[in-house]
Amino acid sequence: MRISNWVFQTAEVAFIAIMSVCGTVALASSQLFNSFQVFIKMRVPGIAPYTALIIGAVLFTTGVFLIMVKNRGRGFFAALVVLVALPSIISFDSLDLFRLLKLDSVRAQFTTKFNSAEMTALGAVIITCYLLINFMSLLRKSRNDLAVQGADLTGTDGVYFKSHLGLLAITSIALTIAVLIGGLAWGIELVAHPTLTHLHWGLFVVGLVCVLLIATCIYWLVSRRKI
Amino acid sequence: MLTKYSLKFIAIFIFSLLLGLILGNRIIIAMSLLPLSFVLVGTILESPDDLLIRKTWISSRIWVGDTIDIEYEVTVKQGLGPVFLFQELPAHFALIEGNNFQVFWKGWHTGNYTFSYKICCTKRGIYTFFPVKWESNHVLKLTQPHHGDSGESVEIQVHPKILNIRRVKNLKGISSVPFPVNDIAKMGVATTDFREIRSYVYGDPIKNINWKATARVSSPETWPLTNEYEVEGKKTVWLFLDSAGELEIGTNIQNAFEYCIEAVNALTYYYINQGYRVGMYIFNGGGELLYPDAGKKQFLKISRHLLGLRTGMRHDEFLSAIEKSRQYILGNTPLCVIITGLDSNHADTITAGVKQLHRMLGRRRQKLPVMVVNVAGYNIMPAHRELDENARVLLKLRTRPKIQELRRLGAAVLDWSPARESFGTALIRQMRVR
Repeated sequence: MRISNWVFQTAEVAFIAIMSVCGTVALASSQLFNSFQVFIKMRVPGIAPYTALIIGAVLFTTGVFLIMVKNRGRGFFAALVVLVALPSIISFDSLDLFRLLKLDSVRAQFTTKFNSAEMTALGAVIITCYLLINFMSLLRKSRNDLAVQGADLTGTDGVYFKSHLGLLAITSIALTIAVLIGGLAWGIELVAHPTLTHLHWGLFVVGLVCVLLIATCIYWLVSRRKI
Repeated sequence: MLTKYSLKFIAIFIFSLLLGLILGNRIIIAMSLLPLSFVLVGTILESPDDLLIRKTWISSRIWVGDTIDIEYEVTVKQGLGPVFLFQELPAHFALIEGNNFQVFWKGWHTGNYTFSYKICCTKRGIYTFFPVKWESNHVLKLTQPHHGDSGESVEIQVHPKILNIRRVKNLKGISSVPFPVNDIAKMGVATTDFREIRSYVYGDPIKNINWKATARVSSPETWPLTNEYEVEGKKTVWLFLDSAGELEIGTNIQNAFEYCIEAVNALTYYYINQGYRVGMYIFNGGGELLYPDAGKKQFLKISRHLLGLRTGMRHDEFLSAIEKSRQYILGNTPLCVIITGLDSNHADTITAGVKQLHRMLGRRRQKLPVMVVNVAGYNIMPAHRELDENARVLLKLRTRPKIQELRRLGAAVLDWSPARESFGTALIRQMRVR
């Protein structure tokens, strides 16, 4: 099956748009954004209602320019989106650094209207889109390189399409696994929280190291198996 | 072995996890799980491996202009992802159909693919076909690619074009070229000198069947092999091939020297088929002598010698070439064929050489048994401007007196313009049809 190149490029642009929207929504729900909007209202009252829209548009344009035009800076764009969403994300910190540093007024800015589950979903969407964009650009670059090297275009397009199917499958499975692990952790927390609160924190560190070691061993054994 | 792409995501996971743990932020920890699970799932899939490439048979002897079908059957048993196949083409081979660089997708099941393309050889020579190189990548390049090559190198001999002999043979007429004085019928009395072994044809004497050689052929459909012996009073043709660097007018593939070689090959093929003995001297390239002999073996010997022939920087060796071939010329009174280009600055040496041959062969009040094949270099390249066309005319006019002088000396001159006609057509022009 052959799908035209522009379909994949449109999908890339759509993922950039989704990332930009998620970042902007996360920012717009924070107290820091409200304070910023008040500041803008005092200086340039006309554009204050469109502040979120402008930030989103700037993010989207940067993403399209870097990824679609320059074909680089995918990591930079993802970092930019996470940075924009950061005021909402760090409002869920257990360790209150601002209070430790006696910056209570600053701490008040880093709060959000979203709850923990909504914020996790937004974060997951941002990372998933980043993964998809990253590998779609990589596949596009490989296809262009093959075309320049004079490879048979029918075969190249077939491989290009099937690689996208592979990317979609791997991302879906990875997302499912991440959701399962997250759900499992949440379930364990609910069940074991009353017991765990009585245990020494050092036990968790040792436990985490053991879990990671066992996970590494299992992974090593599985990855050696032939398909 | 992981690639930079998978290492990047592992780094993102570690950084996010540590940040999440330090800040006690469950959202960052949850976000860090995605790159990790992506790399884990991705690297469980292996890139294709265990390739089996079977090639079809390629003839080791082909002719310039022939189209060769290259076909490989490829089987991939393991892995998932793209497989790249590439075969390097030797110089002077043109791709006619298909592609020598192809990509296939290996799915979940064992993959069977056909890697095929068509090529055309444009210049004589000995070429080496290297094995097919393959590379298989991970679907998302998360692990290092596998690569290798399959089979062994194959050597191919590309011979110059041969003459369409049937066309020349079937034309009844009187040749303007005199043939050797001791011109005896092809079917002479057989001597005891062994020439070659060939397949039995109806009419061959039973006593000539080589039973031992036949028995050695292990094929179930064995056909008897017979010995062929030299016949008495064989005619001889002596070829003088000019290999001066000045003949390389044109491109690397199409130039006067290449056409000279084509003419030599055609003449050798023609005269050997007629039962003649053919010898050759290559001058202006250091001087090389090939002893006169008859039979297919001699044709192959000359043809193989022509494959690797290069031009030299000399332009005055023709007289010494005649001196070195003196014993063969005087002993056999052969038809001397000189293959050269008369439009060079050093064509006077050819005239001097023909005079020398006239002194050696032209004493019997007969037509001089010398033929000069003039390969016209000025017509090989197409004219792009009006001045190019004028230059061609000037060169042609400059060559004309030299041709006339050679004809006055009694030599037959075959003026061959390769761009306009084949060598066979040029040879037929030498015949006056009855």
